[in-house]
Amino acid sequence: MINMKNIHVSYGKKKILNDISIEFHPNILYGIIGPNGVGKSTLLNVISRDVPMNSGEVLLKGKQISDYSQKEIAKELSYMRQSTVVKFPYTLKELVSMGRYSHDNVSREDNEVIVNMRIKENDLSEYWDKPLTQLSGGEVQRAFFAKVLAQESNAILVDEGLSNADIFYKVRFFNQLRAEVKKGKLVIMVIHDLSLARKYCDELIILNHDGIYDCGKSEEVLTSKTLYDVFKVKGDFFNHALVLE
Amino acid sequence: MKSKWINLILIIGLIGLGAFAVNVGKVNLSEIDSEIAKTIFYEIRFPRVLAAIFVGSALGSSGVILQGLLQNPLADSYTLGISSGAAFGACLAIYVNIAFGVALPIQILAIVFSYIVIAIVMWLSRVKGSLDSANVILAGIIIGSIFSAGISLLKSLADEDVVEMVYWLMGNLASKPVEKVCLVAVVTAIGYFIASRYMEELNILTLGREEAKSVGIAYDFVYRLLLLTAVTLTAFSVSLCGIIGFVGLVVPHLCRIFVGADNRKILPMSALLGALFLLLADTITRTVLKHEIPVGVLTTMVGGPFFIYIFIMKKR
Repeated sequence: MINMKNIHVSYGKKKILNDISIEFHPNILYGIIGPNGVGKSTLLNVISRDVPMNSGEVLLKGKQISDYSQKEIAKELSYMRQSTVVKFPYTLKELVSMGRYSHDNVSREDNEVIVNMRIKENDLSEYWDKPLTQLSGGEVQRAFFAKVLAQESNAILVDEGLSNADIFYKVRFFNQLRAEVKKGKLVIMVIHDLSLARKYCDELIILNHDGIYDCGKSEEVLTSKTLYDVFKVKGDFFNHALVLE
Repeated sequence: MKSKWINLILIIGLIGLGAFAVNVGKVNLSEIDSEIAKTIFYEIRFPRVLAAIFVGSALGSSGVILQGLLQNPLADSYTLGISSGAAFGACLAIYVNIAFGVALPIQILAIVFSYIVIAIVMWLSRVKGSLDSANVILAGIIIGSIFSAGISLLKSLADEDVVEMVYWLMGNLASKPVEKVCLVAVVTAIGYFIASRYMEELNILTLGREEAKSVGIAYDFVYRLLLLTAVTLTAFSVSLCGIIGFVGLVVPHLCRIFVGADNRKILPMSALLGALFLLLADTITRTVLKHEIPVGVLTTMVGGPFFIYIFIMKKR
């Protein structure tokens, strides 16, 4: 569905992404892992058109991403960011409804149903008319996730996900993403927690400073050798739990 | 629902106050010659009341747009340098007229300089990176400061003739020709109409450039369009009446306290409340007070403490 070819990105003289080529397919939850500063978020931002490439091309369903209008691309891609600051006291429901913007051919009532469903799915029903400025950090993140889900795009980009939510919602978050993947969607997620990455992602793309170190089935590529080569720590995984030496 | 009721009350209040305002003044119209009374009514009071209504709603609307675009509930036309640009244009015209004995149109120069300011601001923020609120605010404050310094320079050059500039800068609604008032009314109506089509987009823009783009907003287009609309609303009002502070800042803020952050609700309410506020202030200055003070001074002096009161009440 998304095909990245020979992507080069640099900020000033610093090379962030160096000749990256990857293909992403629907029905798969991809995790992008790697140490700090190897361009994990930049990779997502190239796909979302937030960061310009120096060279290379990104095809979305066979078409250059630059050829999409903003509304067209919003139907294909949604993006759950690390954190977004809310400056005005929008209610939770107003925020989640913003996710429906690109679906201007859908009736108000249908949009409303989808918004309410996503609010409920994220256990936020009791807060629907509360201003976001009065909610906790974790609740705001879940509200943004509800907004992303309400967008109903074919692919979902996730940068870190629910970093401020408690473990219950973190686990639920992955289960929700898995449910979306099962429905035929593509999820690409930058993730730092290696245990969660190994357990919940179908495939991992491991980046280091030279580019792609390895990619493939999570359990096959995230091994003690990878830990040592890429993250410079000694340890191993037992039942997806990371145990350090 | 709540916002509809508030708007209805504001409309009734505005009509009532308008009807009252055209009938009161220093002269009691029923006691003088009817021809003169007619002239006073149609050429002095009526344009003045209209000016208050339309300038008030233009400032209220442009405040809503600017606060949204700049992602800052405390932004107004000063933050972007628009008011300073307009004021500089007006002072420049006043100075040149006095110094060289020509008759440059003050109003047109004020408008032109507002657009010059915003063109520079947009250009600067593009050069710096993208059209996002941080870049635009930074550019606006820099350009605004330069033009403020320019105003001071003109004031010092004008020497004894500085009075006219000072009076213009203080802002007032007295003796505006009816054609100019009508022009501002038409511009306000058009600006309001354009703005009202894009309030859903403005809501989303406040989440920032990236977020807005990822839900499907044609960000740069909407941002520029709304910015130009806000500048136009401000420039025409300021060019007619000088600097009238606080309406664009406080009125949207008050509306937000009553109905929340949704700009689709705030824009109409802010336009109505701005009109009512300015009309009230202007009616007070020309009827209640012994010496008429510039309405721009009154709006700030009344608006400021009132804002503090609301702010404290809301905290509890």
